[in-house]
Formats: sequence, C-alpha cells, structure tokens
Amino acid sequence: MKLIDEYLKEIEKELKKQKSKIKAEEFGLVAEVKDGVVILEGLDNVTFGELVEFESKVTGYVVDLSEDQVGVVVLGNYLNIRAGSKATALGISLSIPVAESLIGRVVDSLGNPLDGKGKIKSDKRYPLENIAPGVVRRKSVTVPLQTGIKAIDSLIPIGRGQRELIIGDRGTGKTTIAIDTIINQKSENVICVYCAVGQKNSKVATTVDTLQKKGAMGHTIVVHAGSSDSVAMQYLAPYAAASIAEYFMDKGRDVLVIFDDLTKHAWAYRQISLILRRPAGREAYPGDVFYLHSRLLERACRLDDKYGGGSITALPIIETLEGDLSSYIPTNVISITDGQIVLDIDLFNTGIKPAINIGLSVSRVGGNAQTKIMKSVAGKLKLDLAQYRELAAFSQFESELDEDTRKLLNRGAKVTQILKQKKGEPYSLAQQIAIIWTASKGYLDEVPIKNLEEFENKLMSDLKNRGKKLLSKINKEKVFTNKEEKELEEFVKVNLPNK
Amino acid sequence: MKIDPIVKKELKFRLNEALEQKKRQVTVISAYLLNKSDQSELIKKIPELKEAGVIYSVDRSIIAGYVIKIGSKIIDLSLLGQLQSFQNIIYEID
Repeated sequence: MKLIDEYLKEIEKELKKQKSKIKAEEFGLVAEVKDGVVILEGLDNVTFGELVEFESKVTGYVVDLSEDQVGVVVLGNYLNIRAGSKATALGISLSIPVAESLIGRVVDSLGNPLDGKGKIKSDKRYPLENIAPGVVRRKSVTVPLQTGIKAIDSLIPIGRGQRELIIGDRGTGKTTIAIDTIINQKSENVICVYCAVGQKNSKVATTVDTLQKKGAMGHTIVVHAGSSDSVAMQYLAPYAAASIAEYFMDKGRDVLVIFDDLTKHAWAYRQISLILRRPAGREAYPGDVFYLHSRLLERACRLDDKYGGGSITALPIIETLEGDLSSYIPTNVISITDGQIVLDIDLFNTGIKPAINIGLSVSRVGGNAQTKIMKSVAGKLKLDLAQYRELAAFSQFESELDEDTRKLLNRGAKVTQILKQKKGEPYSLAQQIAIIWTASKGYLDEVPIKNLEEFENKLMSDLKNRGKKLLSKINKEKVFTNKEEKELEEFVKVNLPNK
Repeated sequence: MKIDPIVKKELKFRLNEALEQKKRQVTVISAYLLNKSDQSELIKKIPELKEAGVIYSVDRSIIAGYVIKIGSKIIDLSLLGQLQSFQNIIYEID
C-alpha cells in the first residue's frame, strides 16, 4: 500500500508543477504516408528541422518544406499513421539530452536508453545539427592519440583532434581497429563514443560485450541505430554521436568518436532523398551527399585553450567494394578527412593482421602528433618498409641477389612480422618502442621468421615481469636516453633465441 | 488539352485565392451546439472569431471545451486535450 501512496504523491507533485498554458500550435493533416516519410498538409509556419508529433505519440522531423506541403521523416514506427490523421508541431528543433551519466550506456539516436538500465536524467539538450567551430576557435593537432596498434602509432600516427578514415573491404578488420583503439583509451583519459549505423544487432551486441569484458564501458558511450531501425534513426545516429562528443569537448575533455560505418549512413540518406523525390545524382545519391559527411566530420577538431582546450578525434569507417578506393562515397570522405588507414584483403589473407597497406595509408598530421621518442625510433621504419615493398618481387631469386638487397629483404620481412598484432591486445607506448627499437637496431636480423612471434611474446612478458620500472618510466616521462637503451638491450639479449 | 494562356492565368489566380481563403479559415469545434450567447462570449475573448465565415462544428469526442483552428494553427482548449497531457505526465513518472 505504501508504494501506491508514494506513487500517488509523485503524480500529484508532477501535475501541480504543470502550468496550463494556452498556446497556438501548428497543425497539419497527413496526406501521404510512404516508407518512413509522411507528407503533411497544413503546418504553414514550421521551421526546417522542427519536431512534429503524430496522434500515436510518434515524433517526426521536418526535412522538406514546399509551398503547400511539408515532408516529415518519422522517428519511430510509421505503421500506425493513417492518411487524414493529425499532427502538431512541437516548436523545438531536434536535440538530444546529454549528461555525464551517459558514459557506459547504450542509447539510440534520440537519447533513449537501449540497455535497460533506466532513463538518462539530464538537464541539458544539445542540438543534433550544429555548426562546426570556426577557424579562430581551433588549435593545431599536437597531442598523440595512442591507438595501441604498433603499425598505426609508428607509421600512421593519429593526433587528438584529427579525422582519420578507416577504409577497406568487408571483413578486413575495420571495426577491430576501432574497438582496439577504444580499449586502449582506458588509461588515456579519453571518452569514446562508438556510433553503430545500420549494423546487425548481433554484431553490436558482441561489440558491447567485448567492451564490457575489457573494462572499456567505463569510458565509452554506444549510439546504436541498427539495420532494422527506421531509416531516419540511421540518418541521425552519427549527428547524435557528434552532439554527445561536443558536450564533453565543451567541458574540456578529449573525445574519440567512431562512425561505423558511413557507407550505410549514405545509403539511409539516399533512401530518404529518393522517397522525397529529390533529384538523384551519381549512383542515385542526392546532390548533397558530400555535405552530409562534411558537416559531420568538420565538427571534429581541437579547441584552443581559451575555449576549454578539448578535442574530438573522429575515426569514420567506410566499406569499399572490391577494393575500389575511387568510388563515389570513398573519394568524398577521403577528401574530407586528414588521412586514411587502408586495409587490404590480400594482406589479410596472407596473415598480416592488422591488414594495413602502408603504401596507400597516410596521416596528414603525421609526425606532429608523435612523441619525440617514437619519432626517433620509428623514423627509419617507413623507409625500410617502402624499400622492402619495392624489392619484394625479387625475393624469389634469393640466392642470386647481392648482399645489400638480401639484407634489405631480410630486414623488411622481420619488420613486417613484428608489426603484426593480435586483436584485443593493445600495446602501450613503451612496449611499442621496445619492439620497434629491437627490430630497427638489427637484433632480429639473425632470428628466423618463424621464431619471431615467440621472441616477441617472451620479451613482452619479461618486460612486464622484470622491467616494470623501465616500462613505466618510458610511458610516464616519455624519455628514451642511452640509459634506457642499455637497459632494454639487456632484456633483448637475454631473450634472443640461441643459435 | 490546350488552355488559352489568359484563361490559365485567371484560373491560377482563382485557385490561389481559394487556397488563401482556406488558409485563413477559422473553425470552432465544440462538444455541443453553441447558441448565440455562447458564440458572442467566445468572440469577446478571441477577437479573430469576429470575421465572417467562421465554421462552428460539433464533435462529442472532445468531451468539453473548445478547439479553435485558425488557418493552420490550433488552440486546444478541450477537456480531451487536458486529459491526454495528464496521461503523458503520468507515464513519464517512474
């Protein structure tokens, strides 16, 4: 009985709070209902992007204003909307409730919780469509974002505030790179937002499970609009993720946003545009498909200290078909981002995982976002690998080559081997420096390739056990002087396999 | 079928006028039929109703009160509307 009394008291309190205001609302009648899009008559004074509510309490979002009609995209179940039913305008534009309590939650594009852990209490709403910070408010990218993946942190370094595209065919490991990066941010004080657009529900469930197991949900927010959700939710999900990221950036925090993936986002937008009968362009995409992604990715930046000093790093993911980087959407997003990580299916099949094609991948921020010690250790790496790739075709003539060529091929093969990494096992800065230094100094030249993996595991576990002090010194103080080199040399010499 | 351009212009003009007229249409929906004194009370409170050509219609489902439509704007003063907003508030309480 007590519970019911409490409940009734709550109801009384809430009802007393409501002051009945007489206001004139814009009113319209449903004229046409198409797949997820409703055409209304009336609603003469609505603004673009305003929210509209239907009789069945489903909300919609205005995307089309004609002389006598309004096109509304339904954010929810459109199956109960009949022709002739009423709709009222809510007078607010599309926004999402944001709060610190979002961290660790799984939400949809409108901020409704999907993980069953209760409603998200917030007092602030951030608009989904926001203008990116202007030139004056920005600062150049100098602080590195450690992904924990050796190949990326040494050769294609990413900085906080950069946009780096992850592009590749299906099944090449794009989501794996993204998730590994999120897992590595545990001790880096970076909040991560993972936006799943048009993904299978099972895949997202597995991903959330992985993040939970690795303890990454303590600094991650998942925004999920699956392939069975309405097209409007899939269209808005990346913008919702960007708004959540902006909330934390405005508080001075560093945020990492992953859009997985923007290809499906473009498909969702194409569907909405075709239903609204907008003219179709190349590959049936509407004319503003570039603007669709550019206004999203421009919101990722690094703010000047005057405005809080926060940053948003964006890692959009694009899926290509048959490795075609020159297709419409990939070329659009490549020209927007500050570099790309290209994943190759051939490399993946030969066992090189992560299957990063170093030749085609680039980071336009590059060395500016690397710590000095990593720059000095990895400096020669890219050149060694480039020379190796050029000569790789000659490796079949091994016995007929001269000494120098054979040395280059050997070094290249060893370096390629140590850049391989298992998924879900990020390397700290010190561990990366340890293994790359070992390779570039030539200690691995005499070790046969099949023993390299074993050597690496032995070295890493030895450093973890006996070299804790050395590792933490390199990680915290970012120093790698002769003293540390000598210490590391000892560890390497001990673990090298005997001839 | 070919229409003389002058006739076409005239027809378009008439159509636009009719649409404008429809846009400025004022409708009052009440739960029961209003007599003259009720109507004059209403016109005193809401001056937009002074215009001629106001449609008064009856709809029992609003239970009580009025719903006034001016063009595309709607002012919901009905009991049904109030009850629905109460319903929304109660659903939000957890």
